[in-house]
Amino acid sequence: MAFGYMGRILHVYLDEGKLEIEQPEESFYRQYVGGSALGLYYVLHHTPAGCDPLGPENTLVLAAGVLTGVPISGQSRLTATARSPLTGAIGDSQSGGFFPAELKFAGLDAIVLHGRAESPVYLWVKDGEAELKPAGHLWGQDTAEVERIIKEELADPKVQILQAGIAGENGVRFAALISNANRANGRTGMGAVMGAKNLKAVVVRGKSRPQVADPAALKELAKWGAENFPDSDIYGMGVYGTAEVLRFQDKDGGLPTRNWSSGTFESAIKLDGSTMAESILKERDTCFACVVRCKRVVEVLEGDYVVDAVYGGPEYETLATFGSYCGIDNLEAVALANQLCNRYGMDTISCGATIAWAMDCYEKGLLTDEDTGGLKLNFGNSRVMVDLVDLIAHREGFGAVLAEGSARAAQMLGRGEELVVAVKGQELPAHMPEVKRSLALIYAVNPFGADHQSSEHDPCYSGYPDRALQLGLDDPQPNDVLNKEKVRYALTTEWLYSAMDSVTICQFVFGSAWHLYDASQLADLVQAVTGWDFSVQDLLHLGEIRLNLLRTFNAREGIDSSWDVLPKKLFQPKVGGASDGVAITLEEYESAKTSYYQLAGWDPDAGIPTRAKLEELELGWAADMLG
Amino acid sequence: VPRVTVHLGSILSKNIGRGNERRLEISLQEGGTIADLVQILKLELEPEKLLLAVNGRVARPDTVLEDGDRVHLMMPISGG
Repeated sequence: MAFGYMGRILHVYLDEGKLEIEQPEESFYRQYVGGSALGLYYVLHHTPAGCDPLGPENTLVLAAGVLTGVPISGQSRLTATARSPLTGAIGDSQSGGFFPAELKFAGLDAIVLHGRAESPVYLWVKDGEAELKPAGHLWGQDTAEVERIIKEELADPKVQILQAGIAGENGVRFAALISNANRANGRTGMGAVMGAKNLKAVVVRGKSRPQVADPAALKELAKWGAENFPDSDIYGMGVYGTAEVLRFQDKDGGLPTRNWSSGTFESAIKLDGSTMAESILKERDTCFACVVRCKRVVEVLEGDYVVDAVYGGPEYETLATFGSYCGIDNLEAVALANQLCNRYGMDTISCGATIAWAMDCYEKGLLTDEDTGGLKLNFGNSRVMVDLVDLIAHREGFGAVLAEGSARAAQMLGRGEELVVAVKGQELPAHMPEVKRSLALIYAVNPFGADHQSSEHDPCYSGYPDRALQLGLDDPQPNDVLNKEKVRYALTTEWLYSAMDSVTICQFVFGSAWHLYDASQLADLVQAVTGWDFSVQDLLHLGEIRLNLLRTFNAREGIDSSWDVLPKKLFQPKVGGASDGVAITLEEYESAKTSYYQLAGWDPDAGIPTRAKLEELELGWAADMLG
Repeated sequence: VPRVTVHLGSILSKNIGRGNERRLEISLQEGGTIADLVQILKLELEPEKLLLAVNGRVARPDTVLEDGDRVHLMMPISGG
């Protein structure tokens, strides 16, 4: 068996209740490595073109990576891949926690979920043995309750559970997969895909461990990380959580406010990580074997917005989308909205941003009380914001419209399209291209819609030149330009991030800037675990494979450059703060997009992978799919 | 006289010419704050622009430092 792997991939045919183990050759693992790239291999081979994302033919892959489960920080990560019900394009989403490592311990590298069960079931995998169990009694239950019931019925409090929540059951298009009731494969609606399969949960437990080729080298890298963490730039994320950036984003004019009308929020400090740490923070939490402990656990015992610690605490993105996006500065209300998303299984980014879009429409008179069922959707109305999260998860009242996401909701209503802040139908996360210009390009071209964890952000180029140099990036550029060198930076770091989602590791612990470990150390780690001769160039090559597979899936669906379009709001000047008057220009964006396609080796007009590029990457089979 | 251990983020240590030397021992006057420390180190940055922690907890520029404190001065990250 290849080092680092369990050597087994479980195929679950839900229609027939059939379970099969596949044992790939090492050469297969060497080419696709794990996580997203491996998941895409199976999705492309098992999902027919044109399938309904919420139909039985949409194959869902849950994949760990080669590093998952080895004792070092930042490795317990899981990718979920399928066609997205939110965008219609490829869907791809990552999460941390304890489930990914336990999946390996249970003896599996990945699970490929085919078809749809006749009635609700859950998958139980223990020490390599898998079975489907009835889940009718779990249907309609909150995520924390599902955790409790399953642990009780399996008589094991240490099982790890990944589940589709109530929102996933109800086909909310941005439904998430949830583990530990507080970790999410949040983006692109993978929870809805699992719910549509009548698969309530995947439960894993095991005693196996991945074998490591060079245990001494692994131990040395782990020791280096533990010793250097207190002096690293990521130390602050442990103290403040991801919310450390909020007040600084605001000062830079980069905190999306009132549905992206402004980059500054007058009450930003009320949502900041420092405020959270001194008010509702109960404790810090972590993922398997990680020293950073960036996860927040918050609690509010009384008042209008009571929050239960079992559902964790809000990340930066969540504080922004339910906070500044909606003009809301009530931290407790935002924490409750976060809780509801974890309780019902929804992406906090798309959920908060969709509500912000509705508020913008309401403020401009495009939505009325008649549309909203009497809800006063003014910016700043925290009570209505929280109530809407509940309505969306249950698809009740106006929530049924917003459960479609902002882009589809605008289409359904025939109003508010110009206020939608989304790419390919996926709402923008809380980092503004107006002040970090390469994100204009990455948000637009990313195959699964706007995403902030798909490349390194602009300030990292000049801030960490030594680490950028490891990727061959030797010409740092200012944050507010989108020239050819910035395009090269965006694409090269997009390859790195694609590789990181395939090996699979946390993009806070590993990266090419402020992260604990740099790209060179990541390559050393892969080499230590696998025994392969592995360099930074191999990482970039892997990332290029993954990016081309994502793009191939889209091309097969007829999704081409015409989908790589920025929302209108980004071309409108922001109002107030450090980004007052700043807007992306169509000219700079179009020029960058052309450079990007050229550099990626894709068709310059259609923006899809050429046969030559796919064959160069030994992906001739993918080229055959495109004809 | 309070003596504190200062952990400097990578950009800050390079800015003041200390390269990869991230850990410093600094003495302060009684009642000295993080803002004072920033001045002593000649960081030439407003302390409000830094991410601050003392003994692993959230701190502010006016946080008074005590003997034996571990002080973290970091540039905020970009991303995540």
